[in-house]
Amino acid sequence: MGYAFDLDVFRGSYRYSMLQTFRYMNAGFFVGLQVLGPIFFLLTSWTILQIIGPSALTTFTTTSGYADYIPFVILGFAFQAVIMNAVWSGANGIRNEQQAGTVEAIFVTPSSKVAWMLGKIAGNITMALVSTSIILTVGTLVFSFTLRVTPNIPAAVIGVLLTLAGMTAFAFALAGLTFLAKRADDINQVLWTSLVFFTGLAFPVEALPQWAQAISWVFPITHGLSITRGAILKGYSIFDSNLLFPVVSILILTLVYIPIGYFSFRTFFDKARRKGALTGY
Amino acid sequence: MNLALEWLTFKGVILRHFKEFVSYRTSVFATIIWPLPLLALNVYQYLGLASGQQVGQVLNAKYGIASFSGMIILGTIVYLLYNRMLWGTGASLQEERFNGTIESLFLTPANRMTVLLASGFSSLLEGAWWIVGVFLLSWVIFGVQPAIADWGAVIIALISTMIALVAVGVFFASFFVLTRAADQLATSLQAPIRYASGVAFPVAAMPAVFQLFAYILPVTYGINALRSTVVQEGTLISLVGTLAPLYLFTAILIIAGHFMLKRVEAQAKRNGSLYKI
Amino acid sequence: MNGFDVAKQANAVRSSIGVVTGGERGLYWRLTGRENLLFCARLDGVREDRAKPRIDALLKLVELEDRANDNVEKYSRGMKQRLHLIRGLIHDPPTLLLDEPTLGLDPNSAVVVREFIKEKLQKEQGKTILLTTHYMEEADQLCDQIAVIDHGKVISKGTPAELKAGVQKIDVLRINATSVPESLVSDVKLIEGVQEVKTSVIDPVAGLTEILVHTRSAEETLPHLTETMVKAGARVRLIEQSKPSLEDVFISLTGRRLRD
Repeated sequence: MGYAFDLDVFRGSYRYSMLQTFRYMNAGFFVGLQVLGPIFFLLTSWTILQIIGPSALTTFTTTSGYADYIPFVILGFAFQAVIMNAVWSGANGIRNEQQAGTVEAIFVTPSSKVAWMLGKIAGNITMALVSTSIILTVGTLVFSFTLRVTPNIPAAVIGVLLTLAGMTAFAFALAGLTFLAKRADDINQVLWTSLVFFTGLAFPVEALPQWAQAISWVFPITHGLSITRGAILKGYSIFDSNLLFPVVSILILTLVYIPIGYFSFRTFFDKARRKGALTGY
Repeated sequence: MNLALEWLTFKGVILRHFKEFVSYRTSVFATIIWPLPLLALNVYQYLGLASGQQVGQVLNAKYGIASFSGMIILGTIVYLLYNRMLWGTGASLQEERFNGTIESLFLTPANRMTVLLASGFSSLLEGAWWIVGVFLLSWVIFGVQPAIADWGAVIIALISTMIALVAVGVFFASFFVLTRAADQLATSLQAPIRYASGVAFPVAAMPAVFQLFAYILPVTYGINALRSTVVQEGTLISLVGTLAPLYLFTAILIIAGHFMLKRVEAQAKRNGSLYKI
Repeated sequence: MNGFDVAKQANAVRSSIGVVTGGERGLYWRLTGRENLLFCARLDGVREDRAKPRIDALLKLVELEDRANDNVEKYSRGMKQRLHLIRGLIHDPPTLLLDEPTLGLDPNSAVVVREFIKEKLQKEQGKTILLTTHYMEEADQLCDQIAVIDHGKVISKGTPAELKAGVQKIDVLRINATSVPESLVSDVKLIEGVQEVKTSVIDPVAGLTEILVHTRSAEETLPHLTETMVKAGARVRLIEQSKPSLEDVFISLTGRRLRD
């Protein structure tokens, strides 16, 4: 049907994803609270820092190579808001469609399911950007998030985009799994917690045991975060030798994960169709 | 009140809940696995900044907490159970809406509060492994040794906490139906309550404004009661100051949940919104 | 309702009614048919020693006993509808509320359900049934008393015979024709005595359209009608005068527009 049609599908799915979010604004106060959720994780990190005291910064600097803990964490949680929403938007979206009874109506159309999923993911990322902005604003106003060097914004943006590309593959795989498994929330809980633990969102990866550090390599978030933090907190450009390892790692992972994600989605989807399990929940 | 009928309803809901739970294999998998990364995360948020020994010394010196890992483990267990309440019981009526079964449910003579309470206890049973399993894990991995002076106090603290959590679930069940956005509400409440109830650190370590908030959360008292009796040799007498507000909040939440449910039902009938998603 | 005050004795009312909502949803898909019924029995206050044999009997009644231990997600639409029906009967209520019980069913399944309602529930068990439907022939077949509701108001009620008699003063002409122009409806409506005109395409390939004309007098209207149709270029295949059906009753009471 052509790219114009796919673009239309993407735009429609994106618009619908945003409408779905805003039409529940009768719980608007709580939607706001959800957006502010990462702030409380930030507060947790800050509180722990206060508990341990000044020696914490010394340990942190020695372990991570970064001078300040709070900017490190602020960037971590600002980053995770976008990435996590991207990761589970597909799975949650499919679960919602199943419960609303609209899966059949969608999948019987000639539209590209990839374009449809990407629209959903983009809608959730848009909402997540609000969360990211709030975290950065609160970080600046409340936690005195200041920078010691001039940040390299293009490198940081590239880091985010590469991570999104790599983690979108996870989103597709999870979404496909939801057709069969039906429930996404439980998997999301495990995934989110595991990702925060392994990828250095709340504390340096270097603080983990060796076996855990090895596992952290397989997640694009680990490297994306390294790139973004390096760019913002140390002013590295994307071509800086300090970023060579994370850039190469994330490129390799993205190239590997994208086809895996796509084929996982298709495999789970086809299996669900054959079982007649597409619409059940 | 016909107790035999209430028991029938209670039993029916628990059996149904459990059957549905085990039919979702990913739910069972997640229920077993989730405590591991959550526990690890809560511990490493400290270990990223200091060694275990240093953390233990600071906590003992500043807050009188002898066991760092014990503190984390008990906070994690209660948080897991709270979470199960929120998604299990709190979202239960919303799930009935999605299933299209809410009308049928409200048209039976079954007591709605009994249905919700049964849902709450069922959720607790589903998460029961955490209490035992996480403790075993912590003994093996972290070498946590409980410091229990009064087993009776431990049991009372545990049961009181579980009842309080059921009350939380019952309260939110009505609230979620009223707002028709259960998943957003449930997700929204996770992080604030995780922070304010002292899952990862003592309440005294929080800024003052959050401490005020902490003391209106039943979860806070539950965590304190368990920490006190399991790793700090607390006795029943020492628990009174913690259990009294816990019971008070339990009663308030149950009563509020009951009236809110009635209001929800009346409003839904007027507006025709009982079944609308 | 059944001697109980609906406002003050709500639970007593609930115990005395069985509600059948029907549809694809309204059942727990992850439970078997039997488990769904057992759960509902508990909520209706039916003890297990009574519920289990009753469930077995009901499953047999609707021929679901072979599939009773399969999860509902594997049931067909007709099977789900039958399960809905017997779910409302577990506690043997004297009154049943059936909300469009045959909606979406294939003709065979619909016949089975209607026969079940008429023979088993009405005649054998003597239940009082409040049934809602948009299928006029279903109301005609099953109901002793009918209330016609339009825009939330009861606009007419009576037995099927009484309702039809109420429109006896209306003659109904059915014409089958081809090459029917769009302007024909408005032209026919201008004929004196004509009250309602409804058209529907019955064979798109052959271009055959059925025109239903409600008029005060078929005898007076027919010559003008045929003249109008011939002038408009329509080719008449069949003309007949019929007795008003409940559908005609509905149309005459509510007008031509398709109602929800």
